Amino acid sequence: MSKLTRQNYPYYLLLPGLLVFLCFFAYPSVSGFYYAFVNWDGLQIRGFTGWENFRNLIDRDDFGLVFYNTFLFTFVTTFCKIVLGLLLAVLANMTLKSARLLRSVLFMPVMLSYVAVGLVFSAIYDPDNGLLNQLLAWAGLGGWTQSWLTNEHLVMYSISAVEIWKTAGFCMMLFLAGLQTIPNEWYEAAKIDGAGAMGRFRYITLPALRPVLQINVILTLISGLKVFDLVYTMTGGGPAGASEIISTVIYDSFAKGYYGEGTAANLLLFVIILIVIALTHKLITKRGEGV
Amino acid sequence: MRKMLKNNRLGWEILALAICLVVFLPTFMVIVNSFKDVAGAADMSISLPKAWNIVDNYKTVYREANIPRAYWNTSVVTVLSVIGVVLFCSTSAYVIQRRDDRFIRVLRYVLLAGMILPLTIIPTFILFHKVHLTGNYWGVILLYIASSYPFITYVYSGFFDGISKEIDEAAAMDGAKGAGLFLRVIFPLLMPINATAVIISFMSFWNDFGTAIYFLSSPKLQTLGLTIYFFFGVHSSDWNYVFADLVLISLPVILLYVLLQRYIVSGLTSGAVKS
Repeated sequence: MSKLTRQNYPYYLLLPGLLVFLCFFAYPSVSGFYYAFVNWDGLQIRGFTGWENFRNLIDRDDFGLVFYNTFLFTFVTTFCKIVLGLLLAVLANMTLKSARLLRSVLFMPVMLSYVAVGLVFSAIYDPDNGLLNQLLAWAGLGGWTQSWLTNEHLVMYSISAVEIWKTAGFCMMLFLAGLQTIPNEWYEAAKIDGAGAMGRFRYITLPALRPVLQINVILTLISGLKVFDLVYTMTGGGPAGASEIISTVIYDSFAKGYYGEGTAANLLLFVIILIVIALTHKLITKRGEGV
Repeated sequence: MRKMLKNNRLGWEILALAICLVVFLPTFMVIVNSFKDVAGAADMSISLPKAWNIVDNYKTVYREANIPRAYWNTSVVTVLSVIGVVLFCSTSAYVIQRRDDRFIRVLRYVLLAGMILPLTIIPTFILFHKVHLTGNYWGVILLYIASSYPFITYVYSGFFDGISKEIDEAAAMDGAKGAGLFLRVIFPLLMPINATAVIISFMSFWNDFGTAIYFLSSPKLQTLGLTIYFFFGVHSSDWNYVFADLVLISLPVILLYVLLQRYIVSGLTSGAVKS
């Protein structure tokens, strides 16, 4: 058997891809973390500084806000994408004439580039002649018009809405794929036992979707914590730093030549993502045992 | 009343169509305004154009945004990277899913961490510069493959769960082994998950901005993602041109989606969802 294993699944099939990954992505990014602990201007290393880069980061006046914004964006988008994605998947899985159209229309924004989407929505959010305010005025809700991207209390929510518009379709597709693994007989058996639509959803659909839910939540959390292009193209962190997140801080530090600090922020982001993922994983698996 | 609503198929159809309309609205706005003249597009409304300016808009963008060169650069980089991803990730995932020794078990955790690891651009750039992989296509291609490797390999592994080992064993009896067995027997079974891998990686490479801006910044090598950004810098108030540019650069990904969309759900069902 083990000879067969060696013969059928030789390491030479594994190694090319693994080596490309290790040499060109893992090695530079991981070894780069060393620069978080030195004074480095990009050309030359001027001594080991321990935790100083991290201390400088924490001493920033806006450190709390940057953290708050990053998590606000992550949780708002994750919650909305999961709930909407699930409901849309149920709708798209019904035998409707418009189900195919629904899938196509919802998945299309997933294919578009963040830069393009960011530009388009900065036009839509324009306070004077943006489409959103035009539509609100047209619907008789003129009082609701806002300066969506220049109001410091609104800006993170405005950007979150764009992320939800762009990627809810991907969550939907994953849930849809999960829904299609549930055998129809289960629903029919439940119907015979007298379970209503809500009961079938609660006791068949949700438990069967738990693995998909898990991967979906983890993927949206990662993409939420890592978001950069969208915020950068829509506001660049403004107005006056009100939409600054960890990855725009990293970009700014690099742009200003504070390489050590930028790398420290990058390492911090990596650790935060690791912790969030580990906690989520634990939470979902634990909960799952009860069901 | 509730019962009526529940059985009302028409109600669900209308709801689905209404959702489509709302979600499609921004895209419609982009398309319709790319047909208007400067003054018309400045209003950014969703009304039909008063003055149609399609030919002039698209001609201008085609010339000024350097569309043919950007299309060529982006296609070369994207297509080669996608081929690399499919080859490297499918073969790796096959071994990772089928074998169960200590090395492989450690490797699974390494790949999980790799999905989370953010790209640290400066050390990466320095390394690539040292080995002469900056300022040409190859550096970006290798970086694209390397950075999407953990996730796509993970998606492939899920798919291999669903392919019985008996198939490998039967093929081995017939004398096939290693690469031959994989290429002739296993690879043809992978079409649904290949389609998923192609779509996911194609769109992320085609749309990339953050990596290309460091590695392909010379005008000769610029990809589409960069051309929109620079084009917008010059034409920030000519929304008709900006929108026409956005339509042109998005068309190929949309086409790819239309071609492959029927595989996406089946690929995801058997890939990402199972593992």
